[in-house]
Formats: sequence, structure tokens, C-alpha cells
Amino acid sequence: MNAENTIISLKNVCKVFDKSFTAVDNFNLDIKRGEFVTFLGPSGCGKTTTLRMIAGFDMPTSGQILLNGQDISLIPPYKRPINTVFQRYALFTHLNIYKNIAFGLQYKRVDDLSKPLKDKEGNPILGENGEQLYAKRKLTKEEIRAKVKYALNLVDLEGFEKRAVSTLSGGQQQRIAIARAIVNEPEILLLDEPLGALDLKMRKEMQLELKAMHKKLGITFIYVTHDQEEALTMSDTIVVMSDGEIQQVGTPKEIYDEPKNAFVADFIGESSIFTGTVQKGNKIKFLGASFDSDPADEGKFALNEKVDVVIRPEDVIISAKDKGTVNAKIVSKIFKGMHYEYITMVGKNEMIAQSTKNFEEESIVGLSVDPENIQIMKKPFTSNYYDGHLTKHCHVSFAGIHANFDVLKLFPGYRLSEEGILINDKGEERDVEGLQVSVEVGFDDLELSDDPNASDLHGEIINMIYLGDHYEVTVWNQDVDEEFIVNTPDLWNIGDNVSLVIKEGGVEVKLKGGR
Amino acid sequence: MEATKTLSRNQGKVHETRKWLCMPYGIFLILFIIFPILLIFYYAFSDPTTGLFTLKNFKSVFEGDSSVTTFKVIGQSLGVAALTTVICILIAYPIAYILANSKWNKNAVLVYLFLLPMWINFVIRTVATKQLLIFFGLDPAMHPWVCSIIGMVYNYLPFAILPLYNTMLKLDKSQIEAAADLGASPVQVFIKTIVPMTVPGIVSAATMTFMPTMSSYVITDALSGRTIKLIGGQIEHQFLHSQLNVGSVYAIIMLALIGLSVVFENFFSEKKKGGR
Repeated sequence: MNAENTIISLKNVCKVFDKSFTAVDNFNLDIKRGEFVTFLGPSGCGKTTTLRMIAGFDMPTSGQILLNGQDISLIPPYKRPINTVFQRYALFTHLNIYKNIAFGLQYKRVDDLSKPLKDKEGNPILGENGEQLYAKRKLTKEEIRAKVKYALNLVDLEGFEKRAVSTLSGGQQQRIAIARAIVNEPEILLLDEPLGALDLKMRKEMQLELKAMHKKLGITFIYVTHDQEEALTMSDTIVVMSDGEIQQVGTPKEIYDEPKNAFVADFIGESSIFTGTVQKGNKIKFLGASFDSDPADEGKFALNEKVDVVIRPEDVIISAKDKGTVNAKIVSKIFKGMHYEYITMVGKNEMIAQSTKNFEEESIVGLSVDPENIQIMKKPFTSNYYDGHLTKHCHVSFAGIHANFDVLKLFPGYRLSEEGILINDKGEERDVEGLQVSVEVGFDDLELSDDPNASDLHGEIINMIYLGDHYEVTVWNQDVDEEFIVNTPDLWNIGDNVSLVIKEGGVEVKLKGGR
Repeated sequence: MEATKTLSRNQGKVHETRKWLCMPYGIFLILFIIFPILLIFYYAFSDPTTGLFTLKNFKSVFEGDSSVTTFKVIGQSLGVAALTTVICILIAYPIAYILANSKWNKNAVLVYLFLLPMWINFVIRTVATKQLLIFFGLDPAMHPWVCSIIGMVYNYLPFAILPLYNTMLKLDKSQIEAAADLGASPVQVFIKTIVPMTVPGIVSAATMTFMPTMSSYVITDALSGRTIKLIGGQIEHQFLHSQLNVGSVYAIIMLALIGLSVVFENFFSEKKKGGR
């Protein structure tokens, strides 16, 4: 990216709260001058923390924030040419509207053109680029009045100067908060879920107005929201975040059409997500059928690789039975005004489809998808990996539990004695206690149970993604701070406490360091 | 129809019985507040020997040499009260700010540390203060004002801390951040947002210290060697010497002063509301 065009860049920014909770993890981003950037993610994904670090309310634990190439990470907020529109407006209740908007102007210093800076000999003092420097002065009362009037005009609240904050509606307070920030002509305007407290109609209106304002002012906007529609409507660039990390950066179209992973696809818009297998001849197998995949994806994936497949409902083509790639049964039909939304079942897999055509419920139809509309994404991984070690009795200990595994596979030529000790043919014993191993447990090798006595392994469900015919559930064990990802056909609730049962032979163990 | 009628009748009965619940307070009010005040007015406006209406008692307080003493006493009372109030708020404000900040005061233990002195009887506290001051070389007889104010501030500081602490707990953090965001330095943030937001706390802290310090005299008596005379002391003195009528006049003066300070307080809180 052209460095001159970059107004702010975050480099390896991390924020850790109370030495244990990582809110933002290694955040790298360059933002162009005049861009409308949106941080989008579910609550708790670190988007507001990132915004607060740019504003200066929080200091990064490590990393740098560069504004026009200058490191501002440790500069206090009042020295930054950045203003914020707060979520709950944060208007000064003890001041009237005029004084609220003029608040920042009273601290603003501008060049006093009548007082060019001169050195002792009377030569003009020049700046870095050879321009004349001037003494600084405060804004005059008239200038402040004019600016306040302009700002009120911009947010369509002329004549509100004398009003008290408490007499304004939520939408009006929001506009004042915006006016109060932009009146200072900041280089960057930060907006922290500014429309979250407004009703739907007002929100839609303000979205368009904010977009128009951005165009008119040419200021860089950094916008934080959890509303994907809002992000898609307003932004030039969307930064999708989850768990303190950037998942994807791109234009709204890129994010929607080419989500990088299942999280982004699931979070942005509606979609059906399946597990597919890459096949020969640029084909992909999912839903029990072979689909032609996007020529652009050719060669990006290994043969037989397990991948996530994302299909947007509007990309599904519904046709008569046996005319599509797969047959499906329509189980539900909802009229949405512009189109019908169908939930169809392909075997045990659910596929959401939209169509303007009318099909009967319970009927069998054919489904197909154009190759370029089949989004294929690398699966982050298909197994859980842990570090573990072997115990005396040839069990493996990892993530706070002991598990059985086929120890003889690890040590060919050995057998187990009656005492459970490894012995080879020559009668030599082998002490395996404490050997470092890596442990792999497949997503399918774990089962969830709500019986607390079903196993020693417990945890809380912290995330769940629906993948067509099953759920991918993330279970977190607090004691050992480990996550277990489990494929399950059943619907659980986030926050449930569950037991994890490892299926027979589900634990794969590899020795570390080639021993 | 019938049903609603009985219902309303029953409700009426409930109201009737509830009325009696305020009886104890009514009796208390009459016995210990209204009756004594009437008694004070009676004594103030009656002749000690004949019991007839007279303004003699007021004349004796506000005429000639005695008026000098009277105004001196009123002046000293107001002076001690005002000084104590101002010092209390100046000390209590930063303390309350620190106490309300969870960074420094994690589970509010520190608050109890500052309120602990209130658990000890204040006469004992004052006697102890006197000994402590003497130990540090501050003899109440030599420095009556310094010692009195130290004693008063020490005794009434918790009353200033509590209301300020309560207001600061409820400070809108986002307004403080907004001020910093808009270019106000930490000092300007304090003056422009934190102080205005804590005005209600300051007003009630001022009332909580000003009113009791106006009428108290035990602390000043003990810590000034009886050289600083306050209205409270004057009333005690008159009543102890069976001058019920003159004592009542002083009591009315004090009543008036406290009434005035209440008016002031209301004025300030009204103005606060008007400015919103």
C-alpha cells in the first residue's frame, strides 16, 4: 500500500487485560486517508478495544499505532487529532447544545496569520517543507459561533443551540454527538456503534446520512458495529474480527462473495455451510454429489482435502426434480416479499435457498449452484491438537485428562507385560513415563453428553456453527484453558456445560522430536 | 357493579387504617419538635417575671455592649462553620475521588477506613485529639483557632466524604473520556466535566458539614480553652444560668441562620437544575 496514502496503521497491536485476557491479538492494519472502514464482529471480539486504542483511551500492551507515520501509541487522547462519537453519546449534561458542540473548539489552536514566526534577525522561520510557520492563537468567539452553526446545519438541527441535552430525543442526541466530533475537523472520526440505540427506521436514515457526511467531509471514518447489514451498507472496507483477531479485510462485496473462512461466511449474511472433499477435475463433492467448482479455485486445494463449502441462499437454483445436481425436499417456505425463502433437505443436510418462483412445500425439487457461486475455503483444521505426555502405565495425559490409546503402535517390536510395562522380545523394559507427545483428537472422535459423570472431561460450549448436516461446537475447559472442537448432529446451547466423551480409538498419539 | 363497590369500600378501609401508621411520627413531631419550638418562641417573647409579651429579651441581646458579644458569637460561629466546611470539602474531594476509583479501592475497604472514626464517641475523640495536639506541641490555649478547626475538620470529614463518594461512584465515565477526546487536558477535564458533574455532591457535603458545625460547641470549647464562643455554647451558658428567655433568643437566632443556609442550598440545587 502506498505509504503516503496511509493515514493510520496498526502494527502488531496487542491488548491484554489483567495480564490474562487477550482482547486484541496481533492486530495489523493500514487505513487509507478518506476511507470508511468498519470493524465488524460479534460482541467481545475486540473491535471496541481496538477503537479505544486508536482514540487513546487504552494503551496497547505491545505494538505500535502510527498516525501519518508517527508513533502515537503512548500519546494521550487530548493530543490526538482524532475524535470519537460514543455509543451512549456521552453529551455533557451540564452544558447546553451550543456549549457541547463548542467544547472541543475552545481548546483548538490555529495559525495566527498576522503573526508569522521570525527568528532574532527577523528572518521567517520555516517548517519542514519550507512553509512559513505562524504563531498559534485561540479561535475567536465569532469563529466558534460560525463553526457550531455549520456543524448544526450539517446534522440538520439548526436552531438547537440553546436547548438542554435532556430535552432531545435519542436520534437528536446522536446527531449532536456527531456534530460535536466533526466540528473539530479531526483527521479521523471514530464511531463506536453510534446507531445501536436507535430504532430501525432511524438507524437506516442515519446510515445514509453518515455515508453522505463522509463523502462531503472527506474525513477518514472508522466505524465499529456488530450489525453486518450496517457494515455492508456503509463501508469502503470491512474488517471482520473474532476473538481479538482479524478474520478478513476486504470490500463489502469481497467479504460477502468470497468469505475467507466459515466464521466470516456464517457471520456475514445467510449461508449454508458444508464440509466438502476436493476431487479430480476441479470438482468438489458435498451433499453426496459432485459439483463443478469455480475455475478460479483450481489448484488451490490438495486432492481429497476436506474443505468448507459456503453457498449463499440466493445462489441456489431451484429446478424440477432430477434437473439439478441434487434432489432436495422443501420442508419450509416463507414469503419474504421480494422472494420465497425455502429450507430444503438434501438427505440429512439443510440448505437454505431463495427463489422468486413458487414451489410447494413437501415437494421434491432439483438444486444446483453455478460453479463461481460455490465458495470453497480451507478448513482451519479438522482435528484438535494438544501437547501431552505419557504416563507410567502407558496412558497419555493431555488437557488435564488421562486417556487410553494403542501404545504398541508407537513402539513397534514391544509388547505389554502383565504389569503394564513395555517389554521387547529381548526382555528389555522401556520406561515411557514423561515422554512428550503430540495428541490429535478428530472433531468426529468426540461426543457431547449432558451427563456430568459421563467422563472426566468437562467444559462450556462457547461457539457453534451450523455446517449443513451437523454443528461444529467449540467446548472450552476453564481449568486447563483448552478448547475442544466437536462435530455433533444435535443442537446444543451456547453456555451449556457438557461432558466430552472420547470415542474408542479416537486418540492419535505421535512422539515428539523423533524419539 | 356491586363487586366494584365493595372493592372500593375495602380500599377505603385500607386507607383509613394506614392513616394510623403515621401516628407515632405525628406524636413524636408534636412532642419533640413543634412543642419545643413553640416553647422557645414563648420564652423569647415573654417577661421572665410576669410572663407577659415583651421585646426586652431581644433588646438585651442586641443593645449596647452585649450586641458586640452577640455579633462576635454569630461571626465566630459562621466563621468556624464556613472554614470547617471549606477545608472538609477540599480534603474530602480528592479522597472521595480516589475511593470511588476501583483501581485504587478494589472492594471498598478503604471507605470503611475513613468512616471508622465515626464509630467512636465524639467526646472521647475530641479529648483524645486535644491530648494528641498537645503531644505535637500545639497547645489549645495558645492556638485556639488552629486547634478548633483541626478538631472540627477531623470530626466532620466523614460527613463530607460520604456524599461526595456517592456522587463520584455514579460519574459518567464516558463524559470524562469525551472531554479528553475533544482536546481537554487532564486539568481541563477536571474543571470542565468532573467538577460540574459532582456539584450535587459538593452541595450536600457542604450542608452535611455546615449545619452541624454551626451548632456544635463541645469541640471548640475543648480545643480552644473556651476562648472561641459559638452560639451553641452561648445557648448552653444561658440555660445553665437559668436565663431561659435570653437563651431562647439565641436559639431563634441559630434557627434563623440554619434556615438561611437551607435556602442557600436549595437555591444552588435549583440553579443546577435550571442550567441543564
